[in-house]
Formats: sequence, C-alpha cells, structure tokens
Amino acid sequence: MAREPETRDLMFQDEIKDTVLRAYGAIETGGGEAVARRLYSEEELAEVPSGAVSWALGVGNPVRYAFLQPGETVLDIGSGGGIDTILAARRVGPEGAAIGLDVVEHMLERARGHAAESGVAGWTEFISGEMEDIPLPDASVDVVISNGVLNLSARKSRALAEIFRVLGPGGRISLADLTVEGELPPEVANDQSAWAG
Amino acid sequence: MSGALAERVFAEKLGRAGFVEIWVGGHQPYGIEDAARYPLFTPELIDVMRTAIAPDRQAHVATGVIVRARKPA
Repeated sequence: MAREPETRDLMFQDEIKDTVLRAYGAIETGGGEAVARRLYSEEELAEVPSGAVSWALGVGNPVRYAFLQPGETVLDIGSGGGIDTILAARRVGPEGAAIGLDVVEHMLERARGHAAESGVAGWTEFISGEMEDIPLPDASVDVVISNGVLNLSARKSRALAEIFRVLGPGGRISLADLTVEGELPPEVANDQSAWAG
Repeated sequence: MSGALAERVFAEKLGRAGFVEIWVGGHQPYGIEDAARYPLFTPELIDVMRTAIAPDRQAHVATGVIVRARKPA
C-alpha cells in the first residue's frame, strides 16, 4: 500500500538525520589547519588549542560577526570540536556563559577537553541535544551562533523556531552556513555524504 | 551541501520564524577542491562531483555566508 506523502517525508527526515549522525560519528579528524586557516585569523587560532583547530569543520566565522559582549550568554549549535564555543567563551568572559550543543557524544567529550585546555571551562558547558529540540528554557540566551550546521537539518523551520524560542527579547543570531543557488546534479544531491558535508 | 538553501529562501525562513533585521553577508565561494578538505565528503562523492558538475561551476558549487538577525525586543 502506498504511504501518504507526509509519512514519506517524515521517513526521509529520519533518514537524513541518521545519515548525518553516522557521518559525524564516524570521522576520525576534522578539516584540519587547511580549513581553519581559511576561516580564522592567526590571532583567533592562537586563542584555541591545536586540537580544536584540527577539528574545525565549519564554513565561516560566526563569532567574528556576533559582536559578543562580556557577560552575555551564547549558544553554539552543533559545537563539534568546540572551536567557536571557545572563541565565544573568551569574548563573553567569566561573567557570561558559553553553551555548546551537539548530538554526537564523542564530539561533546572532545570539546569539553578543548575548553578545559583553553581555561574557559568554568563558564563553558557542552550539552547533548538536537537543534530541532533545544534542551534550554525559553528566552535563556542572548546570542545563538552556529557554523555549517543548519543545512544539515531536515527540519530547518523547526530548528529556527527553536532558536527563536531560546533567545531573549532583542537576542541575535550569527549563523555561518552554506547556500546553493539552483539545483545540484541529482547524482550529487542524492549521495548520502552530500547530506552530511 | 544537499540540504543547503538558496540565500533568498534562507532569509524568508528567518522572517517567517519571527526574526527581523536579517542580513546576509561574508560571501565565500566553496568549490569541489574546498569540499575535498572536509572528511565528511567521501572521495567517491568528490569524484562524482568532478564528473557531474559543469567545469565552469566546479570552483563555486556553494557559497559560505554569514546570516545575522535579531529577535524583536
């Protein structure tokens, strides 16, 4: 019996989610210095441990555009190895707070280690959760950043609604992400690793 | 990359979510050689991209952007 379109869409969402989780769970290295040097200045790279640099997997520099202020609470969605969370933590300082959110447990562990090495662990927390169901109260953060993560979501409107919910009034976002104009060739668009990368 | 939105669609989704003062900037082209630096792209996919994507588009398959916006006070 043919499935209703809505059911098919939901299955497709789960398939994408599983693909992304498997891909991020399986990689043994980040993009390395070649990626990091494209995105961050020498001064910024000097602020984070080499392990966090080697695990850079982003596509931009959202912290640079977030104009963080001391005392602010910032949430980094899809914090990975922690490079942006640590840079954010340095800018908000110990009177503020930096929270990294990720679904991959060993990424969270890795990021906690990098934060401890950076000396920002006292005001930095890494929590497990999905961007479509952020485990934080309403209006609990001042700024949301992310780096190459929203494109991985099969439920982007839901993720944006969650970001909106956790931001306080007047709160702001600085999201680095990929955009694509026009269609990718089907053999590229349908490749599972193209959903994770 | 397969889940990336067009810039205009991204901005529209932010507006529908309630965000204001939406700004998109920091444009940076991403080509196949850039993608090859990320371990998330398999060597097989990179090969497919080199074959399937037109030569004049291979240096700019996607665009890295920064999107800023604000929740109304």
